[in-house]
Amino acid sequence: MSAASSFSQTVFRLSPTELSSEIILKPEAWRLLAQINGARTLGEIAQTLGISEQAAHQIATSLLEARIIEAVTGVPQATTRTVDVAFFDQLQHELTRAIGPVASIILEDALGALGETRERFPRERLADLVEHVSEQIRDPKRKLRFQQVMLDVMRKM
Amino acid sequence: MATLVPQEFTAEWSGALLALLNRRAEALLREMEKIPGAQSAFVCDARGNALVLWYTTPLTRETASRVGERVVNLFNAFPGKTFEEVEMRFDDRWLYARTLGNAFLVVVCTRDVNRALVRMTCNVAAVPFQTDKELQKNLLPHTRLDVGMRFGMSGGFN
Repeated sequence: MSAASSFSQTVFRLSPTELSSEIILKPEAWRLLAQINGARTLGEIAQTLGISEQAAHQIATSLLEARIIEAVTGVPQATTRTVDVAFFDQLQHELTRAIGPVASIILEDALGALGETRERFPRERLADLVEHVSEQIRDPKRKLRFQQVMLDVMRKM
Repeated sequence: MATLVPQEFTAEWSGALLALLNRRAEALLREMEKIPGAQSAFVCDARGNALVLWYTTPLTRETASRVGERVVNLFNAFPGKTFEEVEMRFDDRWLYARTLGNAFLVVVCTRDVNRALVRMTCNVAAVPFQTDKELQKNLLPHTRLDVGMRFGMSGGFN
């Protein structure tokens, strides 16, 4: 794992150390600080805020240097969040509605093409999977409907 | 907090037509709020003029129109070939653009945005705008640009 991605997997918390002087926070630093809860990784916080991981790294580094936050030690490294296997039942159901019984084959082919399995499919690749299988739906209206339904499903996850 | 900047009253856009444009564009652009990493987006006409803007990272109409003009030119750059989508990766951002019938949608995101999510979200969100016949009719360019240029026309518009 690269240093950058390792930093993104780090969990931070507010530092109990007393600050020696006043601090002034820029709005983006405040927004990030407000997300730190001793459980979320920096990468997750960046995604929530809609900022790049690089920007989050810079802000977290400055907060670390100012001793406002500290890394949480002894916490298991955050693992990639995977998708509940039940999601694939729903995906296959909707894909079957769009293209018929060949849906199961299309789905397995797509998983293989992405190099993933149902049991350990990373959440951040869900949109890739849905887009990949939707490309097999020739009818534009059915493709659109499928994407719309699956977008709603993904947003609720 | 995202900001939406509607199209203002002009000789081309006024009255019920202006309201229709703003309503359709706002509904489309508000969908960008569901994309983590989307920083700004705008709808532009066939000349690249920014019509309605949405942003979390500040974007002026002038900058949007400048980008829009270049994006439209890119869509028309290959003679005899039409495209529906264009993606551009910059050092610090990623740009996605697609046709909206007689208009274009441009979305600017962080480099690590989920691109499949952007494409699908835009594909779904574009439909009401693209299929609004009254709106599309009034988005038709009143004057043709250089000979040989063609405008991407997506399905759904008659």
